[in-house]
Amino acid sequence: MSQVDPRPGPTPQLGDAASHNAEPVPPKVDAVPWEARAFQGQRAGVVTRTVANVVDFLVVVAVLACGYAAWCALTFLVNPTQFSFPKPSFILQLICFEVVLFVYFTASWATTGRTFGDHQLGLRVVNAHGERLGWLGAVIRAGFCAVLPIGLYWAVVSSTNRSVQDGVLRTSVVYDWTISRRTITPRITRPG
Amino acid sequence: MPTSPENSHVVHDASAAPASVDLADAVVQGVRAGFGALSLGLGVALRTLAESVETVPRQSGPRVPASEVADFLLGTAWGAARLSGRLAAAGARITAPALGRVLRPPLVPRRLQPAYGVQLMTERWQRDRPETLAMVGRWSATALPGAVDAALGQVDVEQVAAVVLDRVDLDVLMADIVGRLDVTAITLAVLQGLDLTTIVSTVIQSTDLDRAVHDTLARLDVDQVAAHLLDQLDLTQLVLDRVDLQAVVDRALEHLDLTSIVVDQIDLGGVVDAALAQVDLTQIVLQQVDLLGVAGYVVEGIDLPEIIRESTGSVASEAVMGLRMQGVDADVVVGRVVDRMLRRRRQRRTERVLEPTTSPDLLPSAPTGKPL
Repeated sequence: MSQVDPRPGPTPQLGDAASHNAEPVPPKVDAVPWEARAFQGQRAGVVTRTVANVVDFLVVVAVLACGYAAWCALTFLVNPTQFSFPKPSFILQLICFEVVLFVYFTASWATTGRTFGDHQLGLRVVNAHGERLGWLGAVIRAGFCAVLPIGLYWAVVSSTNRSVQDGVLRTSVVYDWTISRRTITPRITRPG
Repeated sequence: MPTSPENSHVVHDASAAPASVDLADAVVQGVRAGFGALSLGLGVALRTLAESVETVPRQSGPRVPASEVADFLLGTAWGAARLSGRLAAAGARITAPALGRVLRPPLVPRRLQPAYGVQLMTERWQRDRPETLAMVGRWSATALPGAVDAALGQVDVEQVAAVVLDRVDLDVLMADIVGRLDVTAITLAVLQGLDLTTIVSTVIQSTDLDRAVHDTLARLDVDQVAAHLLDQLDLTQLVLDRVDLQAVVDRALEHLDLTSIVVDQIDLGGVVDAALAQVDLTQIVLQQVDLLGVAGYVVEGIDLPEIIRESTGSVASEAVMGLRMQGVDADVVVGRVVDRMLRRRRQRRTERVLEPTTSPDLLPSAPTGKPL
């Protein structure tokens, strides 16, 4: 699976290499499959992003379910005799969903640049410079996405595969199958 | 060639009288020599007569060989001479005391003795003999060549020489002569007397050297001559002593494109194969190369842990990779359909936001329907 970057560079030499070349440059290794390298770094389409959001939705639902189970368990431990399953209202459920979604998005984009759904689909959220979002950018984009999730589908008609959030915040969701991207060349084009 | 007066004398100086022999012995030897000479003369005369006189065959009558008659006559004379000799010897023994008394009679003064007269005549001859011999020598120097010339004029010299050569073993004679001569001294004397430069230049001018060399080479077995010469020479030592090998090699290398010669003329693959066939490369590498150091350097250079992390983390499974690829394809299809519905002529601008992970030159073509 792993491929050695064949780009020309200083060939590591044994023995005297260290004396002639103070810092031998190790060859870069690309773990991305050969057939997927052509579109790495390009903005993703709506299908991939939708699937990633579905996965994220399931994650949030799972988190809420776990929270609900924990709440039930705590209630049962506190008063077993009068225990009954709590029935939160729709508004409360919606608020909890939004909060969890907001926190989940913020933490994911600010730390790794991708949620679990993005990771499964090989996506990454970057800013206008192709870099990972900062905490402020992640908070704003997470809030925007939690409030207006339908904004994603502006990418269907956008000529640059940008959602409403991307257009407003000058962010991009790109194909990136690598685990981490340590150095990113600022080659971002002018946001459209 | 000029001749010195000393060399012109045919009769050499005989002043040094040889040791005197007994008179009887001298007479015997003289008689024998006389008969020998007479026999040789008769033999030559008879042979000459036999060759020169044409023999007429006779019809009848006995043949009387002249040689037998001559032998008879000589035998008779030889017998008479022997008898005379013995009688003379006997007479001499008898008459010697009497003759001594006659030559030195007693009571006669010495000067009046006959022996004294004989002694005086002898001494007088001994004194005059050198001058007489010298005169004879001078006479021989002038008269003998003429006599010899006259004699040789009557002789067929070529025939005589042929007869002599037939009877002489020339090889033995020449070997004896060469053994007696100081050939080196003679050669040096000859060379000193010759103007070799003029002779050689004349020979060279009058000789077609090209033809001579060509004929010589045609007659020679050049290979054999060369092999013989090479056997006699230590060529290696000769070259090492007389040739500046470093200069030769430098000049040769200046005029040669050694690389092209080697590439054109040598089967490098064969050479390498032959060398590898004789070399245990594995053993050499194991002995000469720090394999553990190389392995460590390579692992450090390619950051193996990072590769493992990337390969196992980025693409967890074939299912995930398939899902991602299908998602990309679906994005392309949806984008193309929407663009067609919107009558959008320009393709979607999905510029590469991130740095490519590999060289663009080596990237495969984008999947069907470039992501828009």
